[in-house]
Amino acid sequence: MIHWLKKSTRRINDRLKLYLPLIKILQTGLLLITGFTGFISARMEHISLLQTAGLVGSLFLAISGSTVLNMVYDRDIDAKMNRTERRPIASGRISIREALILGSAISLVGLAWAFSMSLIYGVVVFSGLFIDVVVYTIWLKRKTALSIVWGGISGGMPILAGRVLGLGHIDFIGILLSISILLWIPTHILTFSMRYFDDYNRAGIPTFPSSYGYQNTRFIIALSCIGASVAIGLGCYALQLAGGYLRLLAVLTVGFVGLAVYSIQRPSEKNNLGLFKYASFFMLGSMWMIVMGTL
Amino acid sequence: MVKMSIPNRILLLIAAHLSGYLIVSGIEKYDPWTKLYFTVAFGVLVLACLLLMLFGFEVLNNTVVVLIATVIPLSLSSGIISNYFHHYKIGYLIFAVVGLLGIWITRIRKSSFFATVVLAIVHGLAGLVITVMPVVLISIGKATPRFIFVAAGGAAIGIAGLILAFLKLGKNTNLVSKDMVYRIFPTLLLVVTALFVLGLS
Repeated sequence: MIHWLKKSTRRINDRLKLYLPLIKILQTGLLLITGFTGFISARMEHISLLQTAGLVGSLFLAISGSTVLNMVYDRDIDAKMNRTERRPIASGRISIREALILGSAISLVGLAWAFSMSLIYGVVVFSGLFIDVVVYTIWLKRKTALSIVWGGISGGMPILAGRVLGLGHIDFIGILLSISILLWIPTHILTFSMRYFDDYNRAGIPTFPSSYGYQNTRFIIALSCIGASVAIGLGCYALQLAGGYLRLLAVLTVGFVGLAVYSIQRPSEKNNLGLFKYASFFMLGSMWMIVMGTL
Repeated sequence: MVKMSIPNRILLLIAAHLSGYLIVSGIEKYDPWTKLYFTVAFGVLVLACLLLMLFGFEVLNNTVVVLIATVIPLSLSSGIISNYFHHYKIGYLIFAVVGLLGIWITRIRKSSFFATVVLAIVHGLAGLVITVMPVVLISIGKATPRFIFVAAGGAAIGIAGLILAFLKLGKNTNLVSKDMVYRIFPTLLLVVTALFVLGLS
């Protein structure tokens, strides 16, 4: 009996270790943080622990589920890219059937949980998942470099969902915060697609650098930095954050835009990577300020 | 180029957070102009720490570093003048702007003699304001005793400036090696920031 139990535990552990890379824990974590920020930004009189757990749980499952489904669909291109060839589905360590069942199951549980909490919250979470899997991954990703706009829209859904759950309706600030994520995502994805240019080319995925050239891509990144900074600045102002938070946001914005402009003037792999990392800092910093400023 | 260690990155992250804290809630008691000057000073510190973390010590070789390193003492000293010596704030602002432009122009023209003279005058005067004025203000009862930490921070940032100057010499000296400079620089930045936070908030 004990032997059987140990064997089963080991088998489950091994499986979980394989499942973890399927949900891109860093990306999922960052999106969860934006969702939580949106929720806190609603300034509810009383923050219910149950509702908070529901938000985190349902969003985690929906985002993770869509990520697994994306990996199932993209397994052929993942196998062609050095960066992704070791992913569990692309390398054959997890069968397509198993991954499809896993992705569908956790997506459905996440959606059911979301709808059970609030209809409008469920609709926003579903929209994010649908746009990410169907519109972005299945329909547009292999056709046009502009697909990242839809990737951005789905990325902006968690923060909107969080705010909608807190408020009970969609408002201008929620849309503004969502737009800030939408405009921030190209900075993230485009610096990434420049870094792994050969990989994407090998897989036949149209990216901004391959469709419009490196220099134009850098211009788009700079514009997207400015747009994201303006949107998040307006969002923070509309949320009536204290002046100190706005000042710090202005400082981080100067660094963000400055780095983007610098990478146009002095293009290099190192500057590109630096901008990529700073973009994550900027977003995390902005989310932290919104949470602290609205609590 | 020395690779930055994880502990050094953590020190820089803490320093960035401390500077961020000061901008968010440590300088609320000051008037708008003083707040602006202190925001610039600590904003540059936040960005300097983040860029050092992301790009490593290579950033210190950039020619812009001299200008950035001047903005910190100039804006800090402008904040002190603006808050405690209202009558001189316009005059000092003119000095700060002209000084910064002077350093920029002499760097572009690569006139090493004038560049050194301008740098010495601007840094010297700003450094004096940061290190001496707090002592004077405390002694005449215009500032609380903890304002002495600003003077200590000014002294520490002066040491940081000297260290950078050593680096700009481009060779190891008997006094301090390049590796040593890189090793202690993040710690020094953290100490400087902590002292300013203690003194100003």
